[in-house]
Amino acid sequence: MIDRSGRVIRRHWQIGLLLALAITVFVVLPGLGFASILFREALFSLRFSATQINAMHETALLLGGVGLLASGIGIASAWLVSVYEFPYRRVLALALMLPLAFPTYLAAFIAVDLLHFFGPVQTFWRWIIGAKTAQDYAFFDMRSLKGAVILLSLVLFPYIYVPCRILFSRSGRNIIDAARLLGTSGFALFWRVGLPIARPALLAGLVLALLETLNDIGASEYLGVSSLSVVIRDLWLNRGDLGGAARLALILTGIVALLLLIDPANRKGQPVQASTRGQAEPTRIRLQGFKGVVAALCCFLPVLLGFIVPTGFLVSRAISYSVLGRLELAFFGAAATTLMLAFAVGLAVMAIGALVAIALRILQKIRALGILTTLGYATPGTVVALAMVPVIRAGDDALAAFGSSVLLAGTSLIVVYALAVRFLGIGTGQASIALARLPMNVDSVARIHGVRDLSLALRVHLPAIMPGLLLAGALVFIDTVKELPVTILLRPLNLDTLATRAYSLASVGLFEHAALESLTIVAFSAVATYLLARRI
Amino acid sequence: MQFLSGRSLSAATVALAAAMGFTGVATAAEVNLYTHRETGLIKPILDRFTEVSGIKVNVVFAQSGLAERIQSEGPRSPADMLLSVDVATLTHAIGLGITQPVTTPALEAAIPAHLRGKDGAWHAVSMRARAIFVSKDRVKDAALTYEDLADPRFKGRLCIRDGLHPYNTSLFAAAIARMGAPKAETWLTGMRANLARKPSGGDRDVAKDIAAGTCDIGVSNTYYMGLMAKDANQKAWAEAVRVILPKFANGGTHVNISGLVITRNAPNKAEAIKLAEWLVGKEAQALYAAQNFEYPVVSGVPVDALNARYGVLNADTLPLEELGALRKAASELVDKTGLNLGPAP
Repeated sequence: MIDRSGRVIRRHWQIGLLLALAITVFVVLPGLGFASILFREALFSLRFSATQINAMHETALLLGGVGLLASGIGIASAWLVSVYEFPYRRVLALALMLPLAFPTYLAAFIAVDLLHFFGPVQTFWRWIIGAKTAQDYAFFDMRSLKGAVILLSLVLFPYIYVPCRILFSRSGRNIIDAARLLGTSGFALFWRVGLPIARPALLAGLVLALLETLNDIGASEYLGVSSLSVVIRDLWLNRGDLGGAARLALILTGIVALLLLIDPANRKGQPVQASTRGQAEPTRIRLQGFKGVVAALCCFLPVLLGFIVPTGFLVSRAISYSVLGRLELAFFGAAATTLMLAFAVGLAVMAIGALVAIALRILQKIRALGILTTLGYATPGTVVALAMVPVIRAGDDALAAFGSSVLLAGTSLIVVYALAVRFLGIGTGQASIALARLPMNVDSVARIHGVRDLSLALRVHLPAIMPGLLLAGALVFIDTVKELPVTILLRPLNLDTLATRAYSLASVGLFEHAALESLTIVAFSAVATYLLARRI
Repeated sequence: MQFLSGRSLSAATVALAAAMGFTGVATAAEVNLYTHRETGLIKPILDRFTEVSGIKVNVVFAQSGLAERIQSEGPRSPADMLLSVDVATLTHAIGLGITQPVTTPALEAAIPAHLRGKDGAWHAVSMRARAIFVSKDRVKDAALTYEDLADPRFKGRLCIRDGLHPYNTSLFAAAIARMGAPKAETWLTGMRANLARKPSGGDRDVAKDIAAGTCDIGVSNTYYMGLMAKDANQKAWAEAVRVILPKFANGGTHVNISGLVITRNAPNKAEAIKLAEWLVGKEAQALYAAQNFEYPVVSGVPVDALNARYGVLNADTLPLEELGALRKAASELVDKTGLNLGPAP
């Protein structure tokens, strides 16, 4: 190691400055914005109403349920496609990522429709059992906590599937092969070898899936789950109870802090993973006949329920509500806006994420700062949006003081900024994970050869983290295409994205009329998902 | 300056965003509308306004949070007008200090006094009646009161959306005003006991669930009947349902309003006033009634034929501002009675 304790920052002041700037703009300012809103209201009450206590209870159940189910689906499918060979394995391995393309709120609307009394499932069931009305038989109610758990798990499991698959087919490969040579097979191989080595990947994915669950408002609300995010939004914007909302938001932040603590990406001293570049395609265990069919079906089921069925539903609705009539100028405008926003936010997050991750590596001692950058991802979108408004206003005041008449408020720039704040954690997270694989010795060697900070960052670090950054960029692209609360609250006059158009119609109970918008959202995300999948 | 690659990326981002950001900056007359009313529902009326007046209407829609956005945007907020779907949002905005009162002879002549705020603090543009939907086959009552929603004979037969939705808190606020808090609590407890399912979904789901047989009676705004009847896939739900305009035992039918306030720093105040006057003019009122099946606020504008079938609307005469003030108490009552937790065990 070249640097020692206190002198680190002084020696690397340039990069330290950039880091400080990035952290200030993307973490501290929004934080202050939130604080300035909080202080308008008295916070000091620890009395929680029955609804608030219930929200904590339901959120805990929701997180627990989604955690278990999504982990189960994610790790099992990752194990099957990585270790075994069976019919259609290649296609399924790609397709298992597709449910990620579905926004949770869309999935909820579709699921309720499909499983309702008038939907195809119950109609078929009535035909079989000969029932007439809903009073004649009992049927699973999608609008329930259980429904929400199943639904969220079905669209969020790819967060767990992806890292587990990478682990099983790359760095974990040798351990699995060794165990096989020693005679472990079948379920024992999974239980005694696969599951333990998958732990870091499982946890990393689980954290993402649970953060998405915590942040969900659309699906939870429609399914009648009073989760923390739903109640926070309600207290703040429907009841004007800022204090109550803020207290719950703090509890939410507490939960998130706990989640981040279990995230291995934020742990020190994790083993450096060996590079496996150029390694031959692993040999998979061939499953013959019936076993192969079962494995294929197990992998097909989550794809069917999490992607094919809802997409099919949207296509049928698009047809019955005559898509062509909706192919108007405004639709194409919204599609173009969505793409531009998603690219802009993706690029911004990649750039800032790279800067933060590299700076933290060079400055070594302050790695914990990385966690700070994930706070935005952990905060409900509505809260992020409203926390940004005082920041924007301060910026506008400053501009006005310099005699400028340009107004930042109500521009797309602000939407990009707010979404970058929200999703920055994905960028810094992926970049840090990628950097951690690069041994510190590399830096030392470079320095011995007289390479200085900036060129070390550009010539050594940046190329090393590019795959991780692209992964982050793709994830942020998908998230932005699907994003609702921030875009809705901050978007400029007359500006619509596909998601806000769909939301508009859904808000008056006409979401089927937005089938075209919904399909386009899914198509954009699916393309990004596919590109992402090919890189893995 | 070797960090250019990172910077140029963000610079590109900024340029890209800026290019799409400053759209709609025109010199022509315009008015900036923040609306909680869904854009599609008011677009024909706004388009017609532009046609007639030459004033362009710029719109941003969200279900909640727009008053907070105006507040935080401060003195230079571009918003001229906030259009809401209930009175509580308007009184909330007024409480935040982001509005200004406006009175003009045209507004005063068009809107009855109880449908606008003191000194023109707010103005209603349409009324929305909170009705009871019942199954055509399974409920025979010709008339019902809101109090009947808690009648034990409807045990396990009642459907309603989220108890904290503004449509419901507004109704419950009216109940507090009409019955007094203790009786309103008993009433809500009775309603909870009657629930067929956990409060969820939207008002259309109430009709859908009645059609399915999950419940026999529910609470919904009337205009959804008209909207469902227009939709081939939803027509059957509307046809399974009969609408009753209920009253409070000592009052009338609960109505809420779509209404507007002019913002305190409205940069296009004159245009905003023109828009306000247009919205309560005969043409816009008739368009609104025909398009959205809401009740016009201007007397002499006919109610849509479908609404007319439900009988004459005897709107409750409680001052609407009182409802705004009681909204928080109503929300707390939902908490206390556990309505949102679903059928009582």
